[in-house]
Amino acid sequence: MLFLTYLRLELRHRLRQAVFIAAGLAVGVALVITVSAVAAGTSDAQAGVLHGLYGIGTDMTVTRPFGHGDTSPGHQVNAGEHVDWLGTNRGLFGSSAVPAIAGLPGVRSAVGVLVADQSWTPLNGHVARTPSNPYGLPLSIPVDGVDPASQRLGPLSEARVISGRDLTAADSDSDVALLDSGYARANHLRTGSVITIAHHQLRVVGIVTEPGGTVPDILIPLRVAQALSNAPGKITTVDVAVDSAADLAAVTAKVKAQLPWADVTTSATLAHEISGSLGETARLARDLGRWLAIAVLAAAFLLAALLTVTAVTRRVREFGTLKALGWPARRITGQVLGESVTIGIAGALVGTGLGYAAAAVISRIARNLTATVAAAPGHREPMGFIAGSNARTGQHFYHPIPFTGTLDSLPIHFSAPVGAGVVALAIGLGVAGGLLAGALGSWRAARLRPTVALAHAG
Amino acid sequence: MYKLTGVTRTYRKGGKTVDALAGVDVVIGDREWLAIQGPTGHGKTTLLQLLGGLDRPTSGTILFDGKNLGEMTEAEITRVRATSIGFIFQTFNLIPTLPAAVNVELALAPLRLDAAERRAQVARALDAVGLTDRAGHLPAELSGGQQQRVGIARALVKDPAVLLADEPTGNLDETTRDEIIDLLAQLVRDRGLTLVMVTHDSTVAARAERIGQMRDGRLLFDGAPVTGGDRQP
Ligand SMILES: Nc1ncnc2c1ncn2[C@@H]1O[C@H](COP(=O)(O)OP(=O)(O)O)[C@@H](O)[C@H]1O
Ligand SMILES: [Mg+2]
Repeated sequence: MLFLTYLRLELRHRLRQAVFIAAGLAVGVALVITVSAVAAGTSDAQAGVLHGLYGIGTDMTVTRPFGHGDTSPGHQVNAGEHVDWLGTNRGLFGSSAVPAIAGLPGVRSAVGVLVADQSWTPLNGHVARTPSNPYGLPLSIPVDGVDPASQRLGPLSEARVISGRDLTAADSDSDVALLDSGYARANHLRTGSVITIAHHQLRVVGIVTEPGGTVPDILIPLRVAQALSNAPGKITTVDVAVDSAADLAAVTAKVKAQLPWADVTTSATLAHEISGSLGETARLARDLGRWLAIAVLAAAFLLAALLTVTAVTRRVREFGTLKALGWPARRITGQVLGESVTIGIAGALVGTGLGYAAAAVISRIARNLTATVAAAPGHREPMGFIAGSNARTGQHFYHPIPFTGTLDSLPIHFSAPVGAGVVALAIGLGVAGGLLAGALGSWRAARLRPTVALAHAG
Repeated sequence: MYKLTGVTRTYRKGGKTVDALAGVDVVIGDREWLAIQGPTGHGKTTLLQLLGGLDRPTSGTILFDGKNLGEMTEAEITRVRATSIGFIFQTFNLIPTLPAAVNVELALAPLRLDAAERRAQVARALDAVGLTDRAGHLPAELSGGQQQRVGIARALVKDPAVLLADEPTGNLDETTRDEIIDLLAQLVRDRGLTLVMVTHDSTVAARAERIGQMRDGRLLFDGAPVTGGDRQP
């Protein structure tokens, strides 16, 4: 085909310039792909972090700020005294909040959870002193009281039973427990074992595992947890699923109107709290990366346009000759456009390859990021203590302190996926760069005097 | 073939106006070979551009085959150029990136021919100018005379009614000039073409049937070839 022959020979003649323009577009396209991939990766990872904290399907968590009288009082502990009690250092509120929230328009479901910790020492009262526990304080074991009848929300939503059975509605008042597989393994516990919480024996009916690894060590029926922690009818957290994520803000407002004391946390509010290397990566991709990609792409477009216009200007006589041969203006325009779109496509393809490679390299380098999250108020965070010992009596004391915004550092498996949509966008951008340059070039060509072909050289 | 009546063309050049053509009246017959002489800057090229429909007159009419070029749409004029008019340039104007055969083929691009027919016509045109063995050569690999032969093949390949040549031998030495003019004369005769040729060269002009003189935008005929005309600077 004459169009292609002409195009090919012309580009071969201007190979250096064509390669230069294509390379510029390729770098721009590669940056767009890389930045988009990293952005997608960080948002996947953030979603992973949030799901880890909340469980899949939880759109919103309602808690109450810690206040006086909410929690178990401080305890005086004598050296060597055996400690075993269940308590919480979070704001408690009545479980009537659950039906109140569930009844709000836009809310699909709501479940109450009592997030607590078992404080425990061996019978002889001596806890080994380790670097992480220099005072030999009682161990703190995360225990959640969950509604055995509705587990599609909350801490158990993502958990999978790997041995024994799940909790059922019939377990509401039974002394039964589920264990996290990691905790069970570390303590040589299995289905059928008996554990003790607050001097009360419970039978292990199942072992669960969860990909994010964020289920508490022990899960027991909510009413049992309330009884053992001496907080009947109280919960610390309501996990909420909404009908549509778009309604999140509206539902938040309704919850606050209904329960003026409530702290409402959504994935949107929590995403801002994610820091650590994941947060840094997200910010980098969002701010620097995006602007860099736009700047490079704009520069590449400009370069392509300028070089194409220059090349067209140098070919004045050629286009005049074509006109004299009876070529319609649109055919000449098409030839110029064809050349620069070809360059644009080449740039886009090379850029897509580069972008893939860069995303793969980043996925490899950044495989093990950590996310530091201001722990969700209603969920897991390290227990805090005020601790010390009385020099005269030799008595140790400690006092559980309320949650004040401790940070959780979570390991993240990070990867920067390149989606088909991004590739399409990138190729579109490359072609658009070529089209833009070609359009400017042919606009320039069209403005040339049609008679230049006959103008004499000297 | 052509009938020009009161044709003027006025250029604006930075506030000043230049009457490149100041009222040209001429009839150019079918199969006529008309040479146009005259000093530089007196309107010869402007006249060829108007005859080729590359430009339009400021006033007056140009009838081509009875049709008024000045009243045609751009598409119609483009069509006339594509089918009926062949240009030959002093500077050859071959596309430097394309081999001779492709340069010739470019003239057939606007016509709806299939590839095989196009190639056959290109081969015939190159044969007619004696360049069959140079079909694959780039312009830079050809001598000036050979380049102008390619230019002639490109003008003839579409079988036009008219050839418009602006100083076709202006860039050639005398021997090559004579070869090219012989070739043109033969082709014009064999194919019954109308040829309008601008030239400084009286030897070349003398081969024509009629010679016009361009002076200050007017075309004058005194019936006899002018000898000792101006030389190209
Ligand atoms: N595009 C143009 N713009 C302005 N003036 C022009 C243009 N083309 C030609 N002229 C002027 O018109 C006159 C005739 O030019 P031209 O037809 O090229 O003469 P010739 O071919 O006889 O040398 C000259 O004075 C020239 O400067
Ligand atoms: Mg001239």
